[in-house]
Amino acid sequence: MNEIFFLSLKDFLLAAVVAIGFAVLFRTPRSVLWVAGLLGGAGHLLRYVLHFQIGSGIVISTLLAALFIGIAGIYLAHKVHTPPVVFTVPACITMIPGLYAYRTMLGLLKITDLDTARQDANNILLDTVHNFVLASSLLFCLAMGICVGILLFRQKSAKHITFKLRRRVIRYREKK
Amino acid sequence: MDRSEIKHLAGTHTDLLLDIGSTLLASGATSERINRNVQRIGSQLGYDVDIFFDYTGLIITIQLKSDPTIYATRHKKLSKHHANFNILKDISLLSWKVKEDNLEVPEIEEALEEIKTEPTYSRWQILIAVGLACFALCFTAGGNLKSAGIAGLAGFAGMYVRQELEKRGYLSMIVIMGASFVSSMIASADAIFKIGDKPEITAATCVLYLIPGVQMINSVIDLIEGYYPMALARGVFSSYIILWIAVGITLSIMFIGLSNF
Repeated sequence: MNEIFFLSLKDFLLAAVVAIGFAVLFRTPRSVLWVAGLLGGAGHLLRYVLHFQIGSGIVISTLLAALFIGIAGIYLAHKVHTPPVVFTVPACITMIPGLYAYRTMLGLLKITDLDTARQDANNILLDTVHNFVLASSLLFCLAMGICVGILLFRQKSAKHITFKLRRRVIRYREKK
Repeated sequence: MDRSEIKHLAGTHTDLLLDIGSTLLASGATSERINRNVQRIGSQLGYDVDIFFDYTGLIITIQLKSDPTIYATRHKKLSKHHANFNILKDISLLSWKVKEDNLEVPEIEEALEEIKTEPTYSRWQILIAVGLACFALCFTAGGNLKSAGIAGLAGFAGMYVRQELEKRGYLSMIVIMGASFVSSMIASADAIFKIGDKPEITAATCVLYLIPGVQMINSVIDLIEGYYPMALARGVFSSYIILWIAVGITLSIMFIGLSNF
């Protein structure tokens, strides 16, 4: 149990560093860097727990983690008065399928050489296609998380999204 | 004010809205965000705004709400895309401020100029951030401490090369290729000298800072929000960048040999 806690903590901290690093690269304002780190760490931790500890598939774990980042990002956006994309994009980048994209590329490189490809044709083709499909699916999941506001809340601006049911009911009545 | 003056004014207002829109586009905003921000400011100035989106430029048509015979259409070309979320945040806040405080046009222009020239992070801060990010990415992907150190160093050096090449005005594909070549050459040390146990992870994670993450994610978001041509253009552009990353890695593989990767 202790070991799982330690591994989770390590995952959280490293993912937070990745998120802050990418946030600086994308020039996220200094005042909200911590939000990017927090969301990136928490999202990656959620994926780590779902995928490696509970054992659910990597695509569904990434989707849930990205949705978590998206929803928590909208909540935090109200607190710090900043549009959510500013920190949800670097937070989701922590889960970017770089390894799978890299393997796709290496597989394609191997296919360019016919002799190499013939040695183990079935595996090389299958691996390449699998890695390509996996990388694109994961990327799509990350984007879903970032635009969760439009997908679930039917609101174009995060400013109008509220988590309090009563306020939503009142707004609904006003619309009528 | 007579008609020609109002028409002239409409023209300058279109230029202001174009300036706002193209700054947002260059900073990595999604089409819907550009649309919303420009509409918000435009409707406060009394216009109906229509935007045509393209990856390399915008066309904005405005029409006076009180007098539909007054209208103007302008186009602005964009030279460079460079993710800058600071500008995204500032323009979003500006657009709400325009709506709530009824800012005049000269005030908006002044605020926009200030936003555009606002300094963000220094070169070295970005270098260190990229190095740390590559280090942590390699560590979380399953590399050991030594591999992660090499990945961090490779990211740092590659980013330095990228900045230097960008400063000298090379084409973006050459910049990306050079940076990915330098990064993967450094990362290949892991495989050659057998430092870490999984050299593949080092090689894969050290070039991730080059991936056009903002454009890739924006591409899918534009697809979901219904800006199909823009989504297509962003997708093609990011695949193109990834292709050049691959070319850089391939070059270093030619030096090192495929079996080492």
